Amino acid sequence: MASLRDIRNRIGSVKNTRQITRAMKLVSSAKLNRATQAATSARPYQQALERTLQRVVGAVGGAVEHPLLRLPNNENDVLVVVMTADRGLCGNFNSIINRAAQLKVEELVAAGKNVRIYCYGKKGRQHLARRGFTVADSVVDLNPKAYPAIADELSLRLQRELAEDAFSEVFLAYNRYRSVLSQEPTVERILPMQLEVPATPEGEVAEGVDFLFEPDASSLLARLLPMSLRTRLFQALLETQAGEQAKRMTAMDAATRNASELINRLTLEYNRARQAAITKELIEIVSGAEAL
Amino acid sequence: MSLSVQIVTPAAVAWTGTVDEVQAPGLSGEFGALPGHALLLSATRPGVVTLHQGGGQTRFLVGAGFAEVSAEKVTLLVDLCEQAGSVDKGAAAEALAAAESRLMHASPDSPEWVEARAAAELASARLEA
Repeated sequence: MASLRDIRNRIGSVKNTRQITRAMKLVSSAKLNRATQAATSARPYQQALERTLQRVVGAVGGAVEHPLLRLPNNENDVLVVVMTADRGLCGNFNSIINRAAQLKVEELVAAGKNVRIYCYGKKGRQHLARRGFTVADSVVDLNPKAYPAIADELSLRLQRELAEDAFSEVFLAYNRYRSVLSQEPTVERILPMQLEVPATPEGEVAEGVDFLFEPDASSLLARLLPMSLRTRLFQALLETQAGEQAKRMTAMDAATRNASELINRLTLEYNRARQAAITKELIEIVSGAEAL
Repeated sequence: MSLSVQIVTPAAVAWTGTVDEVQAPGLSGEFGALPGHALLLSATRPGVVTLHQGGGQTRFLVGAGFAEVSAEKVTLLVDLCEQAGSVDKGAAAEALAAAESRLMHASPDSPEWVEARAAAELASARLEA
């Protein structure tokens, strides 16, 4: 049976833990706010870019050559870019995306591909390196303020490597942000790009053909594609940040609740033990008096 | 008749409003758009966008991007957008000099050259703003 002092110490330590989890919850909810705001204000650009791209693609009808569209002269090497958080204590946020990324890598290795991995965020690097995969390069300690620069740099790097035929395909693994409660691990192929020519309903004019293009549509497309790649990477970074903070907030909320429950139970136990001690003492006194 | 204008950057919508006329730095030269303009999709280079409202005008420094013009709406999709008054000319002049020296050393059409040219364009647009 735990002594009174033991229980008291235990209560104290759980209270300390609760303090920490509560503070972490507050911090991550503030960060989540900022992250969702950043994602929301980035959306108009993505939508406008998407729309413009559709128009131009509609006008050129898919028959166009561009470095980002061509199939590289390389069949063996595949690049996988993994975006995770830098820190833990955010529920299963990192583990779901790491598992999805690992599955993809294993599948590619089984298919005889030579896989290179770029990690954005410490947790992905840790996970994959521990399982014996070589992480070719990694960028850690990501700061949301630097996301535009990171997206720029990565997209330039991918374009350069594509031009050098350094890989046949690039996959991006990240957690798509659905809502505060749900993030979906996603692995998608980002390079080489594929143009989706919007389907034109019978009897209607194809999207974008009534536009005047300045310069011509295919040179516009050549400028749009790199922007689209960068925006996609930027978006993935924003969603990763929002997802991480959302997961941490819910995880820390649950932890705070659990700690409170534990404190209640321990307090009950403490009071019961205290009562038992008093009763025991009384009995000793009474029986001592009777013995006289 | 007026034009509704939206200047959109990757980070946020930088400016929205209605104006009488828009002047934007098209890739092949400055162009103006009045209400009722034909549908136009133009690439833009770094430069100054001028919005005419009533008698006055507002000027913005924008990065490279696109302009989508229709009869009643202009959407500018640009890398960056700053108030023309708030540009630091000294820093821009330095950036221009640095970009030009990089241009001198890079071989034409290499990625470094393209990047340096973009930096030089942006810096000289800043100086003009």
